[in-house]
Amino acid sequence: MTLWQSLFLFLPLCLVISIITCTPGRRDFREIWKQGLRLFLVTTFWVVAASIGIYFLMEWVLSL
Amino acid sequence: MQNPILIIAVPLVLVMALRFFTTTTALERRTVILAWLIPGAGHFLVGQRKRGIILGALVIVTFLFGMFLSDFRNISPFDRHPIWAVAHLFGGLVSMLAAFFTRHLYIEEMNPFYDVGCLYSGVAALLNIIVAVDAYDFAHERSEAPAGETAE
Repeated sequence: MTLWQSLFLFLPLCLVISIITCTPGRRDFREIWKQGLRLFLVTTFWVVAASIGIYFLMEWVLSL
Repeated sequence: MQNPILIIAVPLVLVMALRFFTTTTALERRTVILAWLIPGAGHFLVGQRKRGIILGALVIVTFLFGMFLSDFRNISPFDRHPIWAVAHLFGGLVSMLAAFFTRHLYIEEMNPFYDVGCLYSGVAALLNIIVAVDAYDFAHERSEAPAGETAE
């Protein structure tokens, strides 16, 4: 499985998780979408940032 | 691997079920059981049809997409993946029907998307807990409201 396949399979699942986890306690669906999308963007950013960080860390460790 | 999971999961589920059945109203019980059996159906019982359709569709489509990714071979009650089987318990009828209709399928060739499929279906079944909790929230609100008032 390539990096792009992993990424494109991760994104829809992350979006569904973000939307559904925002549901309890919120009555308005517009607010749920808004919060869900915000959570999705924040989660995606941190996952991608952490992945890049781990990639360079491992590259450095392997070069020692 | 299978026995430790069963030893932990089964008593935990029984204790939680006992607490649930002794501390909730009939409407709350019916809502949660229906929400567990059919994702989104609990919302119908408390008058939240649109919400039920959207949340149910999200859970079911994610679950089926996971099955599609793994060639419909990822749902099985404890014989292939004990951990995912515990997750699939929360998918209710969807998991049961999937396990029943794919019971004759076996893993014969390597599929690179198999693990991702397991993840999708397992997560979808676990997300059904949140959908059921959301339905319970509405049922609880209705149970506490004075006669004549509804949540919607």
